[in-house]
Amino acid sequence: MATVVFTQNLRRHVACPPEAVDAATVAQALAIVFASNPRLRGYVLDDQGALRHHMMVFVDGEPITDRRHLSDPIAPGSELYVMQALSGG
Amino acid sequence: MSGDEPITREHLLAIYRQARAEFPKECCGYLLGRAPDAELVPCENRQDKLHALDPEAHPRTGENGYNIGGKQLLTLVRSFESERPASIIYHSHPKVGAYFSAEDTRAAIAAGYPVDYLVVDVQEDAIVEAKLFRQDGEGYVEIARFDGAAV
Repeated sequence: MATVVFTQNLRRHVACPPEAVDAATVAQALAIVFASNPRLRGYVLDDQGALRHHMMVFVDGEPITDRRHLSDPIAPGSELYVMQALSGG
Repeated sequence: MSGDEPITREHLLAIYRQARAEFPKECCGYLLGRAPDAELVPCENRQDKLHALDPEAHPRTGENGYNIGGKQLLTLVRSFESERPASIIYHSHPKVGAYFSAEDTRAAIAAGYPVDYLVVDVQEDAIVEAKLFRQDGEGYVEIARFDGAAV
């Protein structure tokens, strides 16, 4: 099982504890999480299902490369970190 | 320096040099751990890339905004679960002074990181000063000021 972890700034908007998922890609992993937590989807993905520009997803410490279709593979035991980029003016 | 200084002179000068090198864009980064044993982590400002991707969603450019992403962001976020959490996040303000803007406040509160924020006043030909801000309720207040330097 892979683990999906949402960082603190997302957890302040919507409850999203770490979740273990049985998935082969980032898209599958997030779909499992969003199925039980649909509100979270809008924070992470846009209307087309692509990763929002200000969001980052890391798989085992590496940023995903397919931000549009989220096809990056994951392995059993992988750790997915989902977080907002840090910005300011 | 005394053991109470939030940032070493060496790191401050390195940040000033980064601010000058990236002028007129904002520079950004953070300190892992606390002075005097902190590690300086200069970051890429991704704001221009975001603006190019979607100017409506990201109206600011690198000249009036900063954005930290990539592995540097992961290191920052994970630091708060480690024994050496980040203590300061910094960025420069080209031409506009070392104040904590409304956008800075909004973003810092949204991020919720337990850090102080250093803002560097960088002008065409000089680093004027830097100021350190700490959250106080729903806003941020200045807690330290540092003179500029010829770098």
